[in-house]
Amino acid sequence: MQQLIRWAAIAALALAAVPASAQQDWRLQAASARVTHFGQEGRGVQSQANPEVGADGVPRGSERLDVAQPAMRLEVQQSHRARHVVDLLVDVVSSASADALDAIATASLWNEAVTLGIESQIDATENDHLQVRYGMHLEEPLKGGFGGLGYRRDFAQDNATLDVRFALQIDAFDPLTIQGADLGFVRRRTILGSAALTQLLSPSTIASASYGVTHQWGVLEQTWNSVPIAGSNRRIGERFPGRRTRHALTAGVKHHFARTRSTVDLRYRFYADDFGLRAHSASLRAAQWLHRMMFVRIGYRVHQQNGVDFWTSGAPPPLEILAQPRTSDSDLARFVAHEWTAKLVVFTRRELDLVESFYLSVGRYWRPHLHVTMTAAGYERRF
Amino acid sequence: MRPLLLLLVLLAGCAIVKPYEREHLTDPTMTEDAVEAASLRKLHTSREGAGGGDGAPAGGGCGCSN
Repeated sequence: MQQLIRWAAIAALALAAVPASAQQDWRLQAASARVTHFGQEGRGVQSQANPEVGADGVPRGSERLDVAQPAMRLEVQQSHRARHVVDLLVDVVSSASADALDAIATASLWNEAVTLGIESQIDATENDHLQVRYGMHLEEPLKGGFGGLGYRRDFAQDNATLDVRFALQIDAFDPLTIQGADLGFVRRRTILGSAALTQLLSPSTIASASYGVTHQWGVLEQTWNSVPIAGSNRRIGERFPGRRTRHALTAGVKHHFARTRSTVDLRYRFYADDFGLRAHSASLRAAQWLHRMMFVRIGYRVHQQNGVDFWTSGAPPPLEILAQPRTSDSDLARFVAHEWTAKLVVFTRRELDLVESFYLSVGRYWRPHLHVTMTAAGYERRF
Repeated sequence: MRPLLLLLVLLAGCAIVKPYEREHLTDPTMTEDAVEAASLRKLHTSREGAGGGDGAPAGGGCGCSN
């Protein structure tokens, strides 16, 4: 918590420094809101809810849940040198984080999770921009806070941008074991660093690339996940190593075809961590104007991961593996996932100083034993 | 980091796009919807083991171990 206070103090100092030399001109630049519903159906080895034995002989419990997710973003101009972006994302999740207490109560029938993030940007010079980012995350049984600093440099008449960021995140939670024992408060700490480069390649093409590293230590497992013990109906809790370092490389290119009024957006991401997980994700999105005030966008994404080294669908008897890392979490297994999305955007105003639009979006995410249906509606207004 | 630096060197040779030539770059189909991106990122970090490593906060919340 001391680190969080330190970050908050740095943020406050950075913001306080701006008004001293700049004329105040608080005004709302943009506001957007979105409501999404995720309907998930599926089964996972880690779940204890109504397990069924599949054709492969592995018991899988239900992973069915619904998530209602309201989200909003405000962009505020403070002065000609300072801007702030406020992001709020709320998840209302049915049957999430089901723990041992739910066998006798319905405390986790609906769980709410709130993430609030604020990013303030100060223009040190015409080409140098400083960023301060901080926020918090609240949900049962977890409370977390994060803070970070960033620096952005524009090169070559704003044709290229380099963005470097560093952040610290601390999560504190009070978990129960799968047998219902309360182990008291535990912590997970995360430090993040990233560098991103964006480059204009032509009057209608943008390319981008980034590298990021995340290091975590503390209690990294989800304490409600269980691991079946081979040859019995018993289960034990999952166990992770105490540290994890993740690396991600991304690259993308976006091009607008003026003649057909279409846009194509191609992205690729490579991920590797020291749990042995390697992943490749690629996506293609295409947008097409149908009318001066309406466009449609469709997208497809594929994700392949090899699973963590210690994933198992049936652990040996507990005495042999008590201290060994183990998980049956289906999200950490080897799989290939697919996703398609479609979005219709309709503009009600499209003027120089006012743009207003509404959209509807649908999508589906699927992989072996699990699928998620997404439905969303959103609104955006730029002044 | 090495591929990023290599890319930086390669892109340094690109022609300059003047501000008055950027009409297509500001087309609404070219801009990212940050709220939508955050929502999809949450889905991916919750349902896949490959979240984080991209500068955005990782861990925390439902699906936090992923």
